[in-house]
Amino acid sequence: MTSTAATAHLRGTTAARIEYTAVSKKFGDTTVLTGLDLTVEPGEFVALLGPSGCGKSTALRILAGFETASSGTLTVDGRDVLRVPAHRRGIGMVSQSYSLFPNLSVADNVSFGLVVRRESKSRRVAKLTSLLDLVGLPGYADRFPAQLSGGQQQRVALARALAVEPRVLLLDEPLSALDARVRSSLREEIRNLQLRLGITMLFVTHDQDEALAMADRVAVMRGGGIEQIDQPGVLYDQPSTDFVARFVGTTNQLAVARGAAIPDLWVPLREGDRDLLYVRPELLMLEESDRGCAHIVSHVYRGATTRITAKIEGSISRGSSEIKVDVPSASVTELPIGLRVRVRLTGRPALRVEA
Amino acid sequence: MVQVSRETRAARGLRVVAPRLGWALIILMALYITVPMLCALVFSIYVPTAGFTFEPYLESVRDPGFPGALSLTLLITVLTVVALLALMVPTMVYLHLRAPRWRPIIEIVCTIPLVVPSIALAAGLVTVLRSMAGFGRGSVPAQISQLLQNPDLPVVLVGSYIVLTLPFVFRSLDAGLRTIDLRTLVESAHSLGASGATVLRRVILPNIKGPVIFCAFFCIALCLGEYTVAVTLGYRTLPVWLTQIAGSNFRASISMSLLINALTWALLIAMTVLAGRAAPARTLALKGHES
Repeated sequence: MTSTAATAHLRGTTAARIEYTAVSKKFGDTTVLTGLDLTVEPGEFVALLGPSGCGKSTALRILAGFETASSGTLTVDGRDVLRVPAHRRGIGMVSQSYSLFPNLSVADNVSFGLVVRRESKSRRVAKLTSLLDLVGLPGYADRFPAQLSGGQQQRVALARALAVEPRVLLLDEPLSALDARVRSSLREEIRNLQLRLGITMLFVTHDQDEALAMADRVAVMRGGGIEQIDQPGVLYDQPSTDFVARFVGTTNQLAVARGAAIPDLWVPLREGDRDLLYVRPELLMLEESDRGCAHIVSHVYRGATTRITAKIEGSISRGSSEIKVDVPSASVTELPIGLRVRVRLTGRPALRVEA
Repeated sequence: MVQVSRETRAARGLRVVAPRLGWALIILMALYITVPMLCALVFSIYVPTAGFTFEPYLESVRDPGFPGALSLTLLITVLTVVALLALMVPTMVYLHLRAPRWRPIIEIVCTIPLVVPSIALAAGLVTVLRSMAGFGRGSVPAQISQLLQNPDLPVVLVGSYIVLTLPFVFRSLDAGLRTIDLRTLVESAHSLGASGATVLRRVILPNIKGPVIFCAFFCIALCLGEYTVAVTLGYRTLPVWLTQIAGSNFRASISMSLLINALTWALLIAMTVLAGRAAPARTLALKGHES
């Protein structure tokens, strides 16, 4: 994916600003979107992240023109698009998989939008060449979709969507049907492409790693609305609700006395008014101790770090009954399974809420 | 050991007999189809008193009723195929995309012609058309009735033939649309700027070419051979004319029916070849996977 000429060719596209204002959607009695407010700045890459049924896909499909909104307004560069038919919105879309036209070659797939717009043949050929370079598939013009791997198909789908120079590009879980390696390389490529073309992108995913790795801002959605929208780092370090803290990354929920200072060494609190601390696994340490409150039950090797799970002894009415800690894999031998340990906090909890 | 070899012998026996049995069945089937046609062919070109002759063929073509019957049948055939596809392809696409809940109902409606004998359909039509004409000369129902029965352009026959093909057309198009990811393809095409008509023409039709060609062929075969409805409603289509001349010149009628049969077979072969060519992408794809 390296061709500056290709980028220059496409860079004339002006990125658009998207604004959802109180957009809601009902299917019969079920409300899928409850007054969504969201602004995406020109050239920004925003990910909509959430569990299935949170309304993220519906929000995207309303912008694409494949669903209607029950109420609210949706503008692209200040123009209301809700009444504009899908094919006149100038919004590109890449969906899960199998979206390529199976009867057309790669070249014809990529040129489809240009043929529909009656662009001249010479321009189509020039664009095709630079787009296939851009997505790293030069020389694939004569293949058919069924001859390509899943990752290659999605690259072609990307080139096809970019060919018509959309003001906005929507990605609806474009990587979810791919295997892990292709997925991680393609997500970097999509991000680089977006930065180089400066195009506004809205990306829907249920995979938090994908959202955190790619987007300028991540909107965590729940029950048809946005729970929190922030830069990935802020979302991870300062979640505003317990849902976000639990959905993005892994957290341990540790109970402490209501209003008490954050302790260095944590001990289970079994009664009285309590607060819950949400602590990331890398901000905890396990230390060997005969009078420790937990014992180690498992190791999961993950390369540089190993995730150790320790079970808290006795019953826990609030918070986690198991503590997950990430340690450098080199130090795992000091923490064998069965070892009695105590729990030390080495950093600020991501969130504190009343239990 | 003994047991194993015995089994092997039995298996070998089956391996030898099974293909032969298969071939025997195929030959039997071929004879069942070809013998009557060969008899008809011999009958049509061999006159005991005059030897081999093509006279019956020439006689049938020279019959004053022939040009009219032929042109009427061809006109009905073309109109029926065009109207059938124009009606059913968009309907089936809409059904799959927007109204999947209606699919079972439409399926039942489309299957009814399979269980209702065509004579019942024809009788029903006659009753309705007659009662409409009964409103009196110049009244709207009577005018509609006349329009439908226009002897030069019998709309009522076109409509009836569409109804008669529905059970097969529904199933064929339904299966075709199920094999493609219709919604994703349509939405992708829309987002690339294609309007509804363009999507239908450039994306949907090419991907259900096989089923569409099958529908067209089936419809042509039905239009060329349908007798019951045409004769009940009083039209002189090719099959109706054939039975009429059978009374005066039996040999000529046999020769003509052979010609129609040959035409149908030629169409079938042409359509099969076309349908085979309709899916080059898939064939290529298979090769791609093998390598």
